Amino acid sequence: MKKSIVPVVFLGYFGLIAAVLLFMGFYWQAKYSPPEQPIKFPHYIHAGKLGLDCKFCHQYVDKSIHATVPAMQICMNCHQTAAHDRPEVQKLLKYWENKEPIPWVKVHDVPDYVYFSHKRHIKAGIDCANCHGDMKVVRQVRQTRTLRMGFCVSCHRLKGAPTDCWTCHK
Amino acid sequence: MEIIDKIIFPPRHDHILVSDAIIIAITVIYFIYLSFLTGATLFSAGFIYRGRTEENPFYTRFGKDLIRMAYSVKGAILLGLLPPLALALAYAQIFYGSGLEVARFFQPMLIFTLIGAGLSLFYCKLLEKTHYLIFQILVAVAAVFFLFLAAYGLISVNILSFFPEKWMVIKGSIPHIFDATQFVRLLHFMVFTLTVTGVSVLFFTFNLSGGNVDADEQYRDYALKFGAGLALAGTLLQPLFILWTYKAFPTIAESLQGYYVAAGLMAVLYVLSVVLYLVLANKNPRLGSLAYVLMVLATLVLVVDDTIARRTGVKEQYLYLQDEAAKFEEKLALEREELKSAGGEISVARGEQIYNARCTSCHQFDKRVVGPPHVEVLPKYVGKPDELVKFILNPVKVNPDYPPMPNLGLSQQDAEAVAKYLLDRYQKYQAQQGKQ
Ligand code: HEC
Ligand code: HEC
Ligand code: HEC
Ligand code: HEC
Ligand code: HEC
Ligand code: HEC
Repeated sequence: MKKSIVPVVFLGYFGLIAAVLLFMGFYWQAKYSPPEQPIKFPHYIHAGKLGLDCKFCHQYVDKSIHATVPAMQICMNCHQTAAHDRPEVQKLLKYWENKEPIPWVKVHDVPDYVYFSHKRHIKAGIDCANCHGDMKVVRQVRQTRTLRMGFCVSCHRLKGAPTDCWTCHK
Repeated sequence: MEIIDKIIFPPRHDHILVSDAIIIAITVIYFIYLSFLTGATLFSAGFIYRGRTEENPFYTRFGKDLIRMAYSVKGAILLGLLPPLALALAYAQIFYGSGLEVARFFQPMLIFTLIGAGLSLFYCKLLEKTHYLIFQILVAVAAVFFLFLAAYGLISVNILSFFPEKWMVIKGSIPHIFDATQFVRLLHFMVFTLTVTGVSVLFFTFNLSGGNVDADEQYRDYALKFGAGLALAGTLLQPLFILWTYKAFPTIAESLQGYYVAAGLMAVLYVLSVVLYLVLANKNPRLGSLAYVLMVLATLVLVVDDTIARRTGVKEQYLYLQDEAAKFEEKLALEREELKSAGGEISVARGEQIYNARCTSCHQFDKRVVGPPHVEVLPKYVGKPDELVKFILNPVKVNPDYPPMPNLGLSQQDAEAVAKYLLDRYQKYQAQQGKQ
């Protein structure tokens, strides 16, 4: 009688931990998995196959603190005529006809108390890949760096950039 | 080992899969090897010490047998040498073009494994040759230290391989990244060592080719209790460390799939713990073989989970390999085509291929797509192929009605071929128009 209870206790123990792991998985899915965008915009076609420069679309990346997601006019430069047979491009055309902006979901977001400037980094010759990974192959955008303080500071140390608190916390 | 990074070829689709499979298989073997060697040396030294201080020859005998088990399999040392080399090759293939020279990390790993396994073997021989307890224990501790370093290297490369953010801070060939995941994994390795050692004691004493035939009743009893008890303790502790590992996991390497597999691992560990319990409770060592198989299976699932983490964490690297593989195969096809065609035709045929692959998304010959129809722009290039090549290699803004054409990064040769093809085709087009 006593013997048979041990496997049951084990089952409870391993089962509990398995349940916690599954819960962590669903939590990750809900909170951290890359968001679905209103249009499945493929970076690997535009920045990879077509060879477009990042600045062609992210026009303010070397001019401002924000890189900004491109306005629809930029897409329509080409998509007035290009690739109308693709379902994802048809979605784009629908937004254009209805004169609605595309509700892109923000992927990267540092807290408000952090001061970050694209311009400074691009002017210093830092490649986008350092902070965004290799975007030329990306099918669906996701955050590939933690963008936590340790990440920023370790590169600043490597490159001899300032590491005083007020550099990033104004 | 830098040479390994140089001999790696641009990957093909099948290379990537094979590399992952090699990493899985070899890591399982290497992990079990390192764990068992570490555990056997450590516990053997413990028993030798106990046997001596308590003047109980039983423990001394048990201690000697423990370390002999590790070397009872022929070629055991070799088993420690091949994995670092095979892993270096497979990882270098996966990280082709990433800028991370992974192969160099396997250099110290190879050396540490060599020294660790060598010292451990030396310790095994020493037990027969000398009675200086301190010397024996010191050699054993040194062996464990180096084996541990090798395991540390393996764990670190594994973690590094799914956490690209850390690549920029790595200098030299020791992949130390000051990271919680790394620390937890190391603790997990220690616990894992208990399971592997315990199960191996059962397996070698009772199951493998008839087991230890000299063993008497007392010895068998002790080996059973020690082996199953140690393995059970390790197996029951493992889930806590796996949970902790996931708590410290980099978000980038997380995926639902990975968590499913981790939950599956709990199922395997559960069965293993019940088997070990039955061995203990019923004093039935025949289940030792089953326990060994389950232990290997658990290791396999653990390593598969790491592979899922890597495929998620450096998904961009895998996509890069996939795109490179496609390009490489395209290039091979081109070269084959080129061999078939003769003389002056070569560059036109090649040009057509490149044109179809790289230009047709934006251009058609007689219709506006993204760029202008060629029939409108080619007249000014007739008889001036060099200028056309110059434009293709370095497009400049021409017509305000169109967006700028991006630089497609063609080689000089390819650009010449495309230019030749375009002008050739335009000539034929004109001739046809003239006829009508
Ligand atoms: C053809 C236009 C285009 C080009 C070229 C382009 N992007 Fe984008 N990019 C977009 C659009 C549209 C989005 C928003 C949709 C999305 O997130 O998928 C975006 C999103 C991003 C984001 C995520 C923004 C966020 O929400 O946090 C990053 C980072 C980014 N791009 C980097 C790059 C880099 C680096 C390059 C150059 C290799 C590049 N992009 C080239 C159009 C472009
Ligand atoms: C320089 C011209 C150009 C610009 C600017 C451009 N595209 Fe495209 N896009 C193309 C071409 C050419 C294709 C077809 C590529 C191919 O042949 O696969 C394409 C394909 C696409 C596709 C279909 C991909 C597929 O195969 O499913 C989508 C969606 C798309 N673009 C969205 C956008 C959006 C959104 C923007 C604005 C942020 C944009 N494009 C800007 C040229 C452009
Ligand atoms: C030093 C790190 C770093 C580099 C280099 C970098 N980015 Fe960013 N990027 C960030 C951070 C951090 C954010 C989040 C900004 C925020 O939340 O305000 C971001 C956000 C973005 C966004 C979302 C829109 C926005 O500005 O909030 C786009 C698009 C983008 N980056 C594109 C690029 C491109 C294109 C390049 C290269 C030309 C580049 N980035 C280089 C760190 C970097
Ligand atoms: C890949 C390296 C790298 C990373 C990652 C990086 N930086 Fe920088 N950063 C630099 C360099 C180099 C400079 C110096 C630029 C200059 O000299 O103007 C700099 C400058 C800055 C400056 C301006 C400093 C000044 O002089 O006022 C700020 C603010 C800043 N970084 C914030 C951040 C934040 C916030 C992050 C993390 C999200 C970050 N950086 C990540 C390399 C990096
Ligand atoms: C290179 C840029 C940079 C510098 C320099 C820097 N920080 Fe930060 N800090 C960040 C970023 C980015 C975050 C946001 C972290 C996050 O998203 O959780 C942050 C977050 C914080 C937080 C919030 C707590 C947390 O970790 O979430 C505190 C407190 C803080 N920083 C203090 C400091 C102090 C004190 C210094 C000076 C020693 C300093 N920081 C210097 C970039 C920087
Ligand atoms: C991303 C879309 C795109 C791709 C891919 C592309 N082009 Fe273009 N091309 C354009 C655009 C847009 C223009 C008009 C540029 C202008 O007028 O400033 C153009 C113009 C041209 C012109 C006319 C130049 C002139 O002097 O008026 C030629 C020739 C040309 N492209 C050849 C090629 C060839 C060859 C390829 C393939 C190797 C190619 N293009 C690939 C978009 C593209």
